[in-house]
Amino acid sequence: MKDSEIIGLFFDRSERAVSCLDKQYGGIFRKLAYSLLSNKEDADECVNDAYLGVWNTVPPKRPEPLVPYVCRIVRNIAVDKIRRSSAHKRGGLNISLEELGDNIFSSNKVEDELDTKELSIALNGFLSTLDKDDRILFVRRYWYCDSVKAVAKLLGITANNASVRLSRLRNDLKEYLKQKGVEV
Amino acid sequence: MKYEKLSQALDGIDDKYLLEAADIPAVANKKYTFVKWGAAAAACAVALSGGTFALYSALSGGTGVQYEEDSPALGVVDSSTALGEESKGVEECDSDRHSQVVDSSTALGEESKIEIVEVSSAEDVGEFDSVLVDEEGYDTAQQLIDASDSVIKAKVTGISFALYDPESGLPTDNVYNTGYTESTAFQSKNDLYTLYDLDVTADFKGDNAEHLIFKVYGGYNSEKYLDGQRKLYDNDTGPIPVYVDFPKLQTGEEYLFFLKLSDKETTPAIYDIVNVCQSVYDGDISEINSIDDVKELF
Repeated sequence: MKDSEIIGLFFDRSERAVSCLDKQYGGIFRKLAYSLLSNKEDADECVNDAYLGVWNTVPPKRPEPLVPYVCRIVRNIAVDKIRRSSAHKRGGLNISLEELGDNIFSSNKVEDELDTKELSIALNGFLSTLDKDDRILFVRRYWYCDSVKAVAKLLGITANNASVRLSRLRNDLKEYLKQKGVEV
Repeated sequence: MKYEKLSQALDGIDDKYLLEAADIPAVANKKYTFVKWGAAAAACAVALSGGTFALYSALSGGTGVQYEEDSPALGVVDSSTALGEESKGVEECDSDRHSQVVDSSTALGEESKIEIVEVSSAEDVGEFDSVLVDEEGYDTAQQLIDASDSVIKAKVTGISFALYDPESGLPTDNVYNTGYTESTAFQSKNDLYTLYDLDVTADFKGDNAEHLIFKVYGGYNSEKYLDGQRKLYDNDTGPIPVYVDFPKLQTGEEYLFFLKLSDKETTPAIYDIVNVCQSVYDGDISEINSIDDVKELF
C-alpha cells in the first residue's frame, strides 16, 4: 500500500487507517521506540501514542513521506518520556547522545549555549558530505539510536568495524562544525 | 537529560536522510554476488595435519564479499552464483568438506589449484543459504589461545537449534520481540543458531565444566536436521543461513575447540566460537594432550 493511500484513509477517518499504517511500518516504529526506551511496555505505549498523534494531525497535514513523519512523533514522545522518568536514564537515546555529545563538545556549557537551528543546519550539511553507507551508519546510530551491534548487522559489517567508522565520523563532524564556525 | 540541545538539533535532520536510513529493507533484499569465492574458500580452509583447520593468516586479498549494489549488505551470498558461476572449472569432489585436503600454498593466491567445492550437495538446494564472513583470523596459535576462554577436546553429544534476538543476543524466549515485521524482513528475523552439546574430554585452557554448549550463528546443512530448523525458521522466512567455512560437526565425534564464554549464568554454560574458521579443529587430535601440542598445530 502506498503512503498516499494510507494518508487517504486518515483523511477519510477510516478505522483501517491505523491498522494499515501499523501493518506497513509498525516494525520500524516499534524498533525505534524500543531502541530509544529499552523497555517493551513503554515502547508499545509510545507507538500507540504516536498513532494517536498521527490520527489527530492527519488531516490537515498530508505528510509524505510518511515514515519520517511518524518516526519523529515516536521520537518526540520517547524523548518526553525520558525527560519525565529516570527509569530510562540508560536507554538507547541517552547512550547514543552521550557518545556523540562527549566527542563533539568540549563541555556541557558549550552545549547549553548552542543554537539548535544552526547545529541542525550544520548536521544536514555534514550528512550531505558523506557517502551513503556512512550516512546511514550515522543516522541509524544517532537518530534511530540503534546499538552498534545492531547497526553493524544491518550494514553487514563487524561491530568493531562499525565502532571505528563511527569514531571517525564523530571526529569528522567535530572538524566540520569547527570549519562552519559552530562553537564546539 | 544530558545533551538536550543536541537531541533537538538531531531532530532537525532532513526527512530524506531519515527515510534513506529507514528504507534499508528494500535495498538489502537485493541479491549479492560473491566474487572470487574460490579464493576465499581456499584461504579459509588451509589443511593442516589432514584436517581442515583454517588459517586466516594466509589471507592476503580477495577475501571480502563484493556486492552488485553499492548498498548495505548482510553478508549473505547468493548461493546459486557462488556455487555455480564462480566455481566453474573447479574439480568436483566430495561434498563433505572434512575429507578435503588443500595444499596450503593455494591459500596464498594460486587459485587454479583450489580443489574445494563447498556446500554442493543436494541438501543445499533451496533450503540453505551460504554465508561467508569477512573476519580477521589469528596468525599464531598463541593469539588464538589468548582469544579463547576455553581450549578443549570434546565430544559432540547433541545438536539443537534456537532463536536469538539479534539486538540483545538473548534467546527469544526471554526477550521482547522488538517489533520486526514482514515489511522489515531484512532484519525482522530473530537469528537462528545451532547449539552443540559437548562432553569435555580434555581441557587445556579455562575453567571448564564436564558438559557445555556452544552456539554458532545459522543452521546446520543437513536434511536430517531440516525439520527442526524449519520449526523455528519457517519457509516464509527464507533459506536457512549456514556458514560456509564452519565444519559440519558430527555427533559422537571428538574435536578440538577454541571457544569464548557467552553466558556463564546458564547451566550448562554457553559459549561462542572465537571465529568461524579457526574455532574447530577437525583433524587428528589423538596426539594432542597438552597446550603445547595445541601450539604445534600451527
